Amino acid sequence: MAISAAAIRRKVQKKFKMRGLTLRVDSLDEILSFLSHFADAEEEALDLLADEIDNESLKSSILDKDSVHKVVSRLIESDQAVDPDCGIAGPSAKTSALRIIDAFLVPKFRHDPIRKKFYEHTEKLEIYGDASAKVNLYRDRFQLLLQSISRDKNFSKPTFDTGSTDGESSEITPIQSLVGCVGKKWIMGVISQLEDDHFFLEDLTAAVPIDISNAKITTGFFVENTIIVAEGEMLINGTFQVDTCGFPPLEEKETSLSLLMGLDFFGSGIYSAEETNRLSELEKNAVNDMFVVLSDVWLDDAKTMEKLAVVLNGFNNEDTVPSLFVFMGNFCSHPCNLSYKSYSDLRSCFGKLGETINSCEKLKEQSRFLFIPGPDDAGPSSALPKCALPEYLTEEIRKHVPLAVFSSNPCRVKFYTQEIVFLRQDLLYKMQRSCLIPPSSAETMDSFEHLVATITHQSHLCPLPLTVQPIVWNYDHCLRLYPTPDTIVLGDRSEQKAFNYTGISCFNPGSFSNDSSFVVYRPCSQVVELSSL
Amino acid sequence: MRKNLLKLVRVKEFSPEAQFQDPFSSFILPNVICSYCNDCRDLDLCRDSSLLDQNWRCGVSHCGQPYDREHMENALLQIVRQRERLYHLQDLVCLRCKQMKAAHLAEQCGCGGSFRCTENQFDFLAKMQVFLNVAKSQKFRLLEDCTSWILGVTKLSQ
Repeated sequence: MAISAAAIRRKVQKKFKMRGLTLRVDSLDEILSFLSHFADAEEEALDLLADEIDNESLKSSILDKDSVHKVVSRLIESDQAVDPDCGIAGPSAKTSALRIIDAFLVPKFRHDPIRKKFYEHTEKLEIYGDASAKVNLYRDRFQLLLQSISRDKNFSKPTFDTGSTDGESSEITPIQSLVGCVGKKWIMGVISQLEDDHFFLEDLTAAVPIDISNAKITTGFFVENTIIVAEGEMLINGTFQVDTCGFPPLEEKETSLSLLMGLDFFGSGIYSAEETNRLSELEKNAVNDMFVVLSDVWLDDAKTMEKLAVVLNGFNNEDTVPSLFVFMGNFCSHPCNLSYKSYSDLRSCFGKLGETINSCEKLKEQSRFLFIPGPDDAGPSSALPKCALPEYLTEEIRKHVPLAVFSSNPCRVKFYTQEIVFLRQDLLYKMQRSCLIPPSSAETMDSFEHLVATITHQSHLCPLPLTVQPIVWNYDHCLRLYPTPDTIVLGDRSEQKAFNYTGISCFNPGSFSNDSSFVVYRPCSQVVELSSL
Repeated sequence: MRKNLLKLVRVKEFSPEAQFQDPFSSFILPNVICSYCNDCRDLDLCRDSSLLDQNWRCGVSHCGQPYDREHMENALLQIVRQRERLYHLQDLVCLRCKQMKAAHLAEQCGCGGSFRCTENQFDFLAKMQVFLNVAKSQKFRLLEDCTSWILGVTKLSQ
């Protein structure tokens, strides 16, 4: 199957970005020219090249033309000298355990309700989109949950007509069909405030005002913009009185995956069945692997730097060192606003962290370092997804720790077959404030558990009104949690928490600068160790 | 003369292409204060000839104290961030009836018209280009990084 030049270019950029490497324009051209030798086998050639480059001892995470050229020449030579009996190895046997996926490189899939299939949106996605991008943000979110609920046995059409006249089934009724309806109905819609202080439920067909004053709710934060399923009846005045409402049911990862065969929703690439098995085995054997996750790491605060040194040196002195350190923002005690201007100082602070890491010999050699920006860190935008920290700020630390990876917020990490999503956002406070109804205490009083239930059932990391948290319209898909990931890390300034919800391991490492708390996560067993100094 | 020139390039006199469009090549930074003499003035960053080189100094004749570069860069950065945020928060408007869009999921207005942005991306990016130009000429590196990202112009191939 012929792949267009633009598509190959994107694949190459994505592949290297996932391995924590950034390409210069000239190194990208070198790679593209190498791939042009392998028409129709570009994917395999790219995999091979990426693995070979991984094996190289690189000086920096910015890949220059010479390093690429060295590897390319070596591969071409071995190709020409190949033994006719063996041939070139296919996708290399050695695959990295860790893949880091920048939000802006996650493929976008939209659901076609007529063909009942997902299709990939391959055209360039503008960060500053047009009006249709904003409309599609909401529509795509709705379509995603609609297609999922259509498979749920509780809400699907009854196979046989049971003969009961007043529709006891929980089948979802389109809102435009509610007019003139009698009796209990189920509807699904987005909570919208179409008029001041008047809430409506909106679906793809129409909108209806709702009365939730006496509604019985399930666990979760019922916030404007969330998509809910409500049971109730139409009143004569045209309002839909809600008796009970909840979030759409959570679809299990396996169910979603079986329907999405061959579609790369996570963004880490599609593996063959045998490759998946191999990675699964490796994952089971990676008993000693651990990730250290810290959030709110104020590099301009002396106390924080002292505490960091204690943590880093502590791990450096252990027999096994963590494979990954994740530093989530904010990286400065002052938010980026009119009253803060010492960016050159902040840059030096990053440099000092680099020196500290450098002084830890074992960490320097064996650990990876991932930096995720916080909501108040310097950068062009306060919308989500937020791009990686500006190069100016990270120039010094990159000299000390050349293989440090600076990724977006949110950020996805794949550890063998495990899908982990990181988000740094003070969601808890915002959700609690934006609730229409106080959360139900029937199942839990813990607000973190309510938060987890909300985002997982919404299949979205941040289902808040856009006025509370702006989102880049064309990149809303980067915040999706569909299929449900294995692990969700929510960096929040509230206290450290861990909660396993239907097999999904969720945790908040807490604020390192405020509470000295952090988390040691063991991916093999999905064990979360809440730690603090 | 306008009529004749337009005829030469074969553009109809009253067509949209013939309308004058201010290229928006200037930007005014308001209320810049000199830390030395407390002079407060608005600076036109592109058109003011005394600001064209890297030496941004107080315009008062006896002062001439250089402006605080960090302060200037941050002031510009915050304006960029604020405008950027406003883009994502903007309302959509119906092309036909000019009403603001209220419903989230509707593709068309109740009157049947389609929606457009209140601030379109070309105008927005044109404004951002001004900031990038200033950042480059004044060597404001952080501002340059940020505006480059907004404009989709990156030094590394991303």
